[in-house]
Amino acid sequence: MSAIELVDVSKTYGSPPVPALTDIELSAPQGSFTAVVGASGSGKSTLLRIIGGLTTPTRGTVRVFGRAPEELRVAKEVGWMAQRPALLPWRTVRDNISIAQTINPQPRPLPDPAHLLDLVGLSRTGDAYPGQLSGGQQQRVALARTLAIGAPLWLMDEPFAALDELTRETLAGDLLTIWREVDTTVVWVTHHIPEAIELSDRVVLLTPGPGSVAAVIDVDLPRPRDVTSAAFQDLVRAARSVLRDVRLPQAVT
Amino acid sequence: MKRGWALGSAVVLGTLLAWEMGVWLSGVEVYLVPAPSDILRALVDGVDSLAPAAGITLGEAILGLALGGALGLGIAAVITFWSQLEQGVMSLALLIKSTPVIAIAPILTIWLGRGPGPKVVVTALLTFFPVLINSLEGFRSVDPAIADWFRSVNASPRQYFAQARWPSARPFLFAALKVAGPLALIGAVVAEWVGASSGLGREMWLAYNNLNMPSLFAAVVILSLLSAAVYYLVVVTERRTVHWN
Repeated sequence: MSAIELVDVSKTYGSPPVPALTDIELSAPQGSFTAVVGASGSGKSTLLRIIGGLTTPTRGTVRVFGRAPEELRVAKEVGWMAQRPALLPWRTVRDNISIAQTINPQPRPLPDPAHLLDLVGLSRTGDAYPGQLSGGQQQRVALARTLAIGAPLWLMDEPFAALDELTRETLAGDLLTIWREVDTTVVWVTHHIPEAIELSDRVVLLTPGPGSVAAVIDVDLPRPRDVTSAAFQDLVRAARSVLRDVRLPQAVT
Repeated sequence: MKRGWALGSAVVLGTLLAWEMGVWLSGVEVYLVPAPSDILRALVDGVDSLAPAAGITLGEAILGLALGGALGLGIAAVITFWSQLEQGVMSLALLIKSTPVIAIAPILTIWLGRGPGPKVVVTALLTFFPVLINSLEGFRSVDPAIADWFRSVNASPRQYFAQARWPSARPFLFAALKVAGPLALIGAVVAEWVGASSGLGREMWLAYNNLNMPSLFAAVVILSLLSAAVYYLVVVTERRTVHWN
């Protein structure tokens, strides 16, 4: 069964209408890791917001676990993580995680915040404030906060984009380990092709704005993936070639 | 830091010394320009009347600031929840803000008497506008990424207000209080000038009518010191309560 199903989805903004997405057809199985790749302005974030029930499409049908996205959002079944950690600077790290559980509480078992802090390697910084942490540590807290609500769907909008290469690699490894443990469906937006192929089962390539699906590449490589392997590099080349063909310039690396 | 203090003190002392010398050398009459030493003497001699007067003015200013601040903050919160009220409420607020306090103070004195009532009301009218404008901006200053996160977990408007809007507005509120605090003292003194049985404004008015310039200046010095104290109290409170900013 598909966890996510988008049929003929389009989105325009403002008046006169500016199209952001056109005729998107997309499906993702339960427990899968799907990456959405496209240049700036290709509508990746809009797509993610539509799946998460934060934006309504102008046309088309969206079903997530067979329900409307808004329904899932109300039931707090969507774990949202953005490019910036968006932590509450006036609350401690521990409070930033526990607040995710106290707001709009749902009748389902939730992980212990202390365990989550341990899981993201920040058990000693529970009493610190976000301003006292590095960018990588703040994203770890944001990841723990996403895990805290026990949602079956994670929507992640370039969460590692502002991090340095080494921190990004470490966090990506940690994220995959956690994802395999909790059996969650993930949609990951990025403009970084190697990152998409390293993390995901399928890579959805978007055309420049208004975005539509240019191609879907299945990544059938065992994890952990060797980014230097020929098979990995072949997939990177194939994705780049598709994006070049749809006239995507240097913005995509 | 220490160097800054030393330099600041040197400038103040130098100015006072130049003032003192200028008065003595020019021979200008004390009822026109008193020397700093005359003002100091007036301060010491008049402490029995100036100290309680300062206490009364400070009390009126604090009460007025509390009333004006609560009003500004409350109206800003209401507009945040019901934005359709904004245009009407802000037009009224602007009208009150544009009316000169010196024109309202006599009316209030006639209506409310010579006690602290009109002073508190004048001070509240002066201070509520900066608090209203800053609080409204503060409530709307929530980081869009934080706003998205609250939407993603379907937080109620009340939860969003308490957990995101209110903390985001706190730095703005303190910025308003830095302006409104000293303004509150000015409001209280202006209202006392118009008609009062006590307070620093009353002391100033009496000194003015008797051409007692050292006493008038002594009252001004106390008012300035109180203004500075109120400002620094706001700064210290801000440092303690808005530690993340």
